[in-house]
This record gives sequence, structure tokens and C-alpha cells, in this order.
Amino acid sequence: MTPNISPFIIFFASIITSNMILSNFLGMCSYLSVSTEYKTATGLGMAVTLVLVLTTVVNWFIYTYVIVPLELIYLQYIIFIMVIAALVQILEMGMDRYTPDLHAKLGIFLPLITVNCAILGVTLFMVIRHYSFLQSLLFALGSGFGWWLAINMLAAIREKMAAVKLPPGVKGPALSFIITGIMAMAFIGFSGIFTIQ
Amino acid sequence: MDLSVILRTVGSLALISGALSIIISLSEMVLNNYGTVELDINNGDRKLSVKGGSSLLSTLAGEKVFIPSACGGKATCGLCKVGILDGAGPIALTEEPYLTQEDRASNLRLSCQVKVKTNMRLLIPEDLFNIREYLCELEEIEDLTYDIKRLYLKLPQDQTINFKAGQFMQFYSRPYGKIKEEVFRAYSISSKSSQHDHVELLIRLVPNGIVTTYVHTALSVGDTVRLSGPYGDFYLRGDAEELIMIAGGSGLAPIRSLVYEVIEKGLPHKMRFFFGANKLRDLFYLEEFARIEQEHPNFKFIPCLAFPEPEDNWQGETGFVTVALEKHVDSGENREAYLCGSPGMLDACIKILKDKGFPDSKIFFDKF
Amino acid sequence: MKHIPENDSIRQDLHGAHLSREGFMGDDARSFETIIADDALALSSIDVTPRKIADKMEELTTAGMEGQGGRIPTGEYLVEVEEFMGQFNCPFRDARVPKRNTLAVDKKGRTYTWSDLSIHLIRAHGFFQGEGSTYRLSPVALARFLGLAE
Repeated sequence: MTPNISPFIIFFASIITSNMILSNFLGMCSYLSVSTEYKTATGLGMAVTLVLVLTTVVNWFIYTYVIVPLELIYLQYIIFIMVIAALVQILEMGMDRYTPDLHAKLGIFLPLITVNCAILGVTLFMVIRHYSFLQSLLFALGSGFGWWLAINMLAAIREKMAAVKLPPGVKGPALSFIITGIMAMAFIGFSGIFTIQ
Repeated sequence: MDLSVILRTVGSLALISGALSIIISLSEMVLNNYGTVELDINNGDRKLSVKGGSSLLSTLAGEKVFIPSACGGKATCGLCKVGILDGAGPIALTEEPYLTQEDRASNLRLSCQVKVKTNMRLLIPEDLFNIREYLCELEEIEDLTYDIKRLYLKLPQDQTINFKAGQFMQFYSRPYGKIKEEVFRAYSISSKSSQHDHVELLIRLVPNGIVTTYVHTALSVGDTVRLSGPYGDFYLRGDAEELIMIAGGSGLAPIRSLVYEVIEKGLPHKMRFFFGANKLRDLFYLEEFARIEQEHPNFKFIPCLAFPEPEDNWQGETGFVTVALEKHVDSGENREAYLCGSPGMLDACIKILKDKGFPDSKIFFDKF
Repeated sequence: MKHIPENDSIRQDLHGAHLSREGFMGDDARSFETIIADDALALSSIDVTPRKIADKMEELTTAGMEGQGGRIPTGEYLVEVEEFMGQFNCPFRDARVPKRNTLAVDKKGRTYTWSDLSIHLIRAHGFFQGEGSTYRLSPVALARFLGLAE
């Protein structure tokens, strides 16, 4: 069942060739809305990566040891979402307690991430592709980095373009879509290095 | 559909969500438990021991210190700023847009976004900080005249009040008779501002008035009365040699408090208090003010009766307060005027004061 | 009998407790719309308008203020105005008037009492309050008392 791919291949592939945003177009809402500033984009990217890894790991255990044995596969979406929501809450409380500085930076993003589709997407890919634990872990980590990379690139480009005179029709979100499209095309250039899907 | 499938679905969902909520509650108990922390307000003015873990705004509200907030703690109105000297932690991203450079320099933070985790030292504007709610016990209630009652209220054991003489309290009546809801009215405090465990109010019966009728007919000793306050900007400025005080009827209340404040603080002001009424039966606190007059040469008490009855044997000033004012006060030079009473009397007095040369900025009044 | 559903919240306030302890209806069973209509009819028979009555009442109240709470002669009347703390909301929601009571006695010893709210209710709404209300003023008798009709 488990595909015979090295976890490290999965890791790099999910950053470059199977990027969550640039090839799967998942997690677009926060990607588009929080990409005006490089600094906040970095914060959000960090938070997404953290939550991705955590939820994927926990969901892997839930899937393997709860959902499959109890034959609850038809309920997996609801269960995954509940687990993600609960985890994010606990994570927020923990961060607030032990790393207040980090919480001050990421705190407001955490509830936002609960409904980020990239999070659920990674969990579902992991299930569909029958990844082992290690594969899932590195897949989540890679997807997080990939998402982070994409939002940082977009934010950097948007910051650079803030001073550019543009026709009104391509300002704001429209510009973000155009930039994302061009970036996605550029990333197609990586395809063929390795494939995981 | 198969019943067992439905049951299994509902059952497992209930179990999983139940398990998750238990985990969340447990982790909240562990992670969000900051124990009891000390809040020091305005450099030791007040110390609060509170349970940590909630926002500063709601923690303070729980202690009856109400910080104004329009959005209810969502970091969108920016009104709930409070000075935090230490214990606040880093400025959250949600606060950033609401804090100006000056705010940051003076340690202001949005109290709805700051969580109480450690001991904190706070600076809260005194007016806000002093306004509180009190469930008082009515210790004494007596008739001062046929239509004015004196209420002497004992504050709860663990609460004290700090007010400036001249300020007022909101008084909440309970539902009685036909009145099905709580109604509130404002009454000036007549007790000394140095007294922190009791307040005295003078309340005149208004025909058909909801709260005054409640006070005059439904209240008796031992009853619980809800007050909030103090409020108001009628208080001593004291930027003059002599204070001219003018009151009619229950308007005496804040003036009494002012007179005691000047005396107790040993302030150098001379005071003249014109107290206007119609007949002898409308006058009260005569002996008390006569005594103050004897003990303090700086204080002159001038009661005026407009329509004394022959049997009153009135020896004092006869006629309206305005007449006495005209007679006894020569100019507005180096004087401040404090007035409390009915609009008609106040308007007439203010007109005379202005004619005498009192500038607007030296006339303070509390109009009904 | 007139009854306009849109006026129901006004009706509630007129029946008292919220704005005034006793309300404005007394034990009158008629709706306030009917009371206003009935009183208007009665007044038209002696050719006096509520506005005229209110103006005269206000004139007496203003003159009585000179007495600063005492009873003073004003034209044909002895008038005493008493002021209280606070203001009254009109149950028709269009005004806030000071709490002030005027007592007027004429040469024959007839005595009438009204508040500033009564003046406003009469002038703006033609409303003399319900029978049995403390502040009910019978429009025709009041007009005669004020010298506006024979």
C-alpha cells in the first residue's frame, strides 16, 4: 500500500514540484489576504508550517489507530477538521504561556489557520496516498515550507510593486493572481526533477 | 438506512468530540492557569488579587473597575487603553494599529488584548478607576423637612469610595407597585469626602416622581440600595480667595460636602453660603451650619427666606437669594461661585453674579 | 373608538410605569386617540384651540417663575411654580421638558395645577390626559378658567 518513495524526495517535491499553492492552489484565502507585507507573511508562513506538521502527525495517528480500525472512513473529514480546530486552540494556549513573544507575532494567525484548506489538504493527500508516518511527517514539513516560500515570494514581489504605477484594473487582488500565475508557471520548470503525484 | 449505522455515526462523533473537548478543557486548566496574580493600580492606590488567564479588560470588569470599550474586547474600537508599567508582555499584532508613538511612550496598551499572566502594575485614569457599583445598606433615613429626606448609606464592608466634594451618585430604585423595572436618578453626595465608608444623600419628593416616591414611601432602614458613581465635574477648583456658595432646597447637598472639604483640608478660602428657601419649614441643617460658622470664622452662613410666615419669627434675610446676593456680594474679584438648585433660581443668581463681574469661568453650577 | 396599531408603544408609555409613575391615562377606558378627538370636539364648540390654551398656561408659568417657588400675583391669578430635579420625556417621544409644576388660583378661588409636560402635551398633541389621571385637565373648564371662553 505505502508508496515506495523516499521521505526526503517527498519533502523536496512538496516544496518545489508539488507546492501547495503553486501547483495545488490550496490555502489561497490567507495567502492572498496576508501577503501585503513581507514581515507578516513570514509570521503566517511560520504558523502554517507549525500547524501543518502538528496536525498531520496527530491526524496520522487518529487515522491509523481510530478511523481505520473503527471503520469510520466516511466520517474522516469531520473528524480531521475537529482535530485541527482543537489542536490549534491548545497550541495557541501553549504558545501564549511558554513563548509569549512568538504568540504576540503569530497569535492572530492561528485561528485563521484553522480554516486554511492547505492544512486539511495535506492530511487528505496523506490519506489518499497511503503515506507512512515518516513520509507524512516530511510531506507536511515540506508542504509547510513550500507554502511559506510561496507567500514570502508573493509578499516580496507585492512590496516591490507597491510603488509601481498600475492601471486600476490590475491593482490589489488581481495583481496577486497574476503574480501567482506567473510564479506557478515558473515552478512548472521544476517538474521532471521528481514526481510524487 | 440501517439504524445501527446511524447510531454508530452519532455515537462515534459524540465520543470523539467529547474526547476533544475534555482534552481542550484539561489543557486549558494546565496551560491557562496562571494562578492568583496581584494587580497594583495607580501606584498602590488599590491592590487586587485576581485569577490570571483572562484579558485585562474582563478581569478588571470582574473587579468592578469598568474600562470603556465599544467593541466588547475585539480590538476594533481602541477605547480600552490602560497604562501598564510592567507585566504586559510584548505588543500583539492586533494592538499595533491602535497605539500611537505617544501611547507606546506612556506604556498604554489595549486592555482587551493583554492577558493577565503575571503581577501587573497599572495606571488607570482616576475618574474611571473611582467609578464603581455599591450595594449599600440604608443605615438611617429621616425627614429633614416635610418633603426632603436624608439617607445615610453604609457601603459594603470591603468597599470604599473616593469622591471629590460636589460629585453625585446614581441611585437605582427597585421595582415597586406599578413600576416594573429598575429606574435610576442622580443625587449629589452631601457627606464629607473624607468619609470613605458611608455616603449621605438628600432626596426631595417630586410629585409623581418614580425614584423619589420610592425613596419617600418604599424605603426603610436596613434595605439594600444600589448606587454607582461618583460622577460629575462639579467640584472645588479653589483658585480664588473667596468662595460664594448658593443653594436652594436639596441643592444644599453638594455645598455641604464642599464646605467640609475646605474646612477639613485646612484650605485658606473664605466661604459665604447663601441658602434660599420659601418658609422656615423648608430650611434644614440650620444648627449644623450655625455651628460651623461659630467654629470657623472663614465661613459665613446666610439663610434667606422668601416668604416667611408670621409665626416663623424669622430674624434673618428676607426675600429671594438674589436680593441677599445683591446686598452682600460687591464684586467678582478673586471669587469663585458654586451654585446648586432649581434652574429658575440658578439663572437669576448667575445673572446677578455676571453683573457683579464674575467671569463665566468662575461660576460653577449643578443645575437640576 | 379609534385605535391605531402603530401607536401601541406610545399607548404603553401613556399607561405609565416607564416614564411616569401613574401614567397619563387615569382610569379612562377610551384609547388616547379617542380622548384627543373627543376633547378637540368639545373645544371646537367654544371656539378655542389647544394651542391657545397652552400658550396661556405657559405665560402663567413663565410669570410665576419670578416667585422663585413662592406664590405671587400675576394678572388675575396667584401663581406658584415649583421646580424639581430632572426632566420628563414626552410619551409621544418628541420632547424633553423640565420637571416643573405650576399652581394657579383665580379670584373665585378655583385652582388648577399643571406641569410643563401638560403644556407640551396640550400644545403638540392636543392631549389633556385621561379621566382620573392626576394631571387631567378638562379642556372646556380650563379654557374658561384661563379666560379664553365665556
